[in-house]
Amino acid sequence: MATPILMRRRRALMALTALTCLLLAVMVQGRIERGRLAASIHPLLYLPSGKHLKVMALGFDGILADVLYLWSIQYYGNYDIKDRYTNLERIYDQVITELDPHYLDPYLVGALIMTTEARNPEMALKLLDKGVQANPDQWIMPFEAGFLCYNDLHDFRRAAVYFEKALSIPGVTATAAEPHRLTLAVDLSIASVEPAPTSAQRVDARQQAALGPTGFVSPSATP
Amino acid sequence: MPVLELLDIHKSYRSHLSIRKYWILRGLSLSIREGEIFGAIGTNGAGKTTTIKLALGLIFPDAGVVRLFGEDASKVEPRRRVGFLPENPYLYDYLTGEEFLDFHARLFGLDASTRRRRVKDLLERVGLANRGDRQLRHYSKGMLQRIGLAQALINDPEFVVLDEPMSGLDPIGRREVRDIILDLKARGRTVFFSTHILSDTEMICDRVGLLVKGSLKAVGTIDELVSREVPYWEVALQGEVEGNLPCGRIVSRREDRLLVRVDSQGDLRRLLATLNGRGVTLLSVTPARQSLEDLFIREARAASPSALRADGGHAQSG
Amino acid sequence: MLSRVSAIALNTFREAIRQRILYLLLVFGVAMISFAQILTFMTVGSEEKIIKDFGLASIDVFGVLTSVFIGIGLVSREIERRTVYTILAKPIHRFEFILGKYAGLALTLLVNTTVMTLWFFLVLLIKGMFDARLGVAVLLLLFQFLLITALAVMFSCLSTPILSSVMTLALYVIGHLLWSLDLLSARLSTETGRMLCRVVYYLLPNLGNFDIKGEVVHGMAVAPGRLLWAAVYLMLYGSAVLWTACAVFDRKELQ
Repeated sequence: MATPILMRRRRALMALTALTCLLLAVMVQGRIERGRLAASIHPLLYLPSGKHLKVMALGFDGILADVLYLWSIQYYGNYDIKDRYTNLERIYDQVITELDPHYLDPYLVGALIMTTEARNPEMALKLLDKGVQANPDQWIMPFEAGFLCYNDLHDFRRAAVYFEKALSIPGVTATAAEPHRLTLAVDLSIASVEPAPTSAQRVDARQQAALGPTGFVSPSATP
Repeated sequence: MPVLELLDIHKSYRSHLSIRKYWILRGLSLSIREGEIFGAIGTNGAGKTTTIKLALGLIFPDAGVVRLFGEDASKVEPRRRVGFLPENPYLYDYLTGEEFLDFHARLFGLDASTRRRRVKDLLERVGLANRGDRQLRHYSKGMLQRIGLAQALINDPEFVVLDEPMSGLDPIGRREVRDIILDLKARGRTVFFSTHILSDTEMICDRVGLLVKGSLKAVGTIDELVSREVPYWEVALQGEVEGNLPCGRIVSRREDRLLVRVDSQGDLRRLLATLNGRGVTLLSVTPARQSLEDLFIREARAASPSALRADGGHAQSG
Repeated sequence: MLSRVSAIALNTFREAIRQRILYLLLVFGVAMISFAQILTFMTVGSEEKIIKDFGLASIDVFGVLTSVFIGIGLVSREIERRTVYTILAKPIHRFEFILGKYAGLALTLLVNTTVMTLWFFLVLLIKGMFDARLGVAVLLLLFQFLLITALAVMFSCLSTPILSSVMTLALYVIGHLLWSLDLLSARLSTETGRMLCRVVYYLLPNLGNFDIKGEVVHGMAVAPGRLLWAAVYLMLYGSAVLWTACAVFDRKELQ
């Protein structure tokens, strides 16, 4: 029968061993992490397509889309990762928006990344087109597409088509800041359309959007 | 009308893995009369528990009929008059003693005040009056056996079936259970119990049934089963005995004590007469009564002839 | 009959409540909902969808786990521990026993789900994201749990706990994939093949009937009467399963 002192010593020794092992494990983990960045092949890049994922999700596709979207933001926000745009289309177009076609943020943010960072506005438009088709009741989709055409591609004809579509969707009057942007865009795009619309049509278009005073507000840069 | 009737019951058991059938009961017929205490004794695996389960409709016979109060045992109504304590019952250990008894009482549809009364009475009767509010997980084995017995009596049943009721109890507990069983009989109830402890049956049973390997080898009162004849006497003596004895055989000798066996009353008297005055002290004279144990062992051996025969006993015929 | 069934039901409920594992599941469920809040710090865009998705998913997952793992044990544990003997030796029909066990677990699920939902709604109210239709989604999830429990009880009567868990989980997975069976049947070339597919489709439990998570989170329309029809489906299919369980248990040998 070990005396109390011996028992205490034994326990202290075991605790110390456990702590040492934990510290070593932490150091090893740090080493693993440093080694990892060198070869930045992320397992999530090899995800099966959205259609297959939908099967595996068993009704949890919404939350899976959320998680993948959150991951994608961290991934694309990390400027250290080289060649991170190679799978850009796949991630947003084939996976996340396939899983949850009604989740709007991936379309919008995906398109933003495609345009401003990957410098591929056509890819962005393709994604937004998909968003428009899947969510015909959301005016923000064609609006963003229109703005992209107007601002980045300077393709006013295309922009006009998108904006008209946006204006035809009820609820487009809802936001406060957007009308300012919308005014100029509407004017510019309508100006580029042939034959030139009558002033009545112009007023009509403006009224439809219930636009306030004209003014140009710089597009809110999404963080 | 017999309280319980089993008519030519055959019951087999087939394990999941093989297609072999094991016969547990073959052609068992038994009938329990109203107001009697019946003890079922038998080797392990003889079929005592199986018989009890058949009586209560927990399992069904391959062939034959089981009747409880004249109705088929698979019917639910006859059980209203029955109380049952299974062997080594696991009980809901998260319930307190009172909750446990109350739960079982509800299954009889008793109203709240009757339930309260019965629970209180029964806890007292089985000696658990102060422990009713403790969870069963904190009960000792003896206490669990008692609460199990209380549960069996909650509906004041006419027929009480107990599977190994004495198991796990100390001598005091066994005595209490015996008293409860006798008390039940005094109130005109019928009791059927199975046990390993032969002396318990000898003390309280009206009739006994001996089950060996699935069939009833003997059934009747103790007197009917065990003959009253005394086959031999054992005489214990103390002192020096010189020479041969006139009759009888020395069975064992230790220091100055001697154990002598004589086969008849006549021999006994002659032995005692010769020893008188020889300076030998008579310690005891014991008639060896044939006991239930002898019957038990005899029948059990007969059923499995490969078992070794113990030596030293008189060769019992059979 | 009702008194006996309710006695068993209340007892089952009491047993479930006094099991520590239940609290563990509950705590995890609540934690998951809170975890969603942490995740929202990482998102660009609306946090509402994430919180709602996580909330509903937690309630869903933990409800299913409770249904399967406690449901499986309901009958088999009683048989294993021989507590069932003292009960069935009483004047109670075997089917009353099954119904009582089921009702007890149903009550447990109701209480559990309500607690998690109340926490979920509290979080939403504080953030101003509350939508009453989420209540409908949760109600449908509850229907799903009740159906899964019925399946678990049935398997519990038929075989061992391990096999029962596997079968019940398998049916859960299949139940959510029935839409693919529908697609498959359209692609088959033979008439008998299509017929077979249809038969299988209708025989298996259609758990998609109870899933409107996506619609509610996105604020999309839900077909009117969806709740009512789902309830009817639950009652009919659930009864079929439970009566099968009763039939099996009725002639079960309790060795």
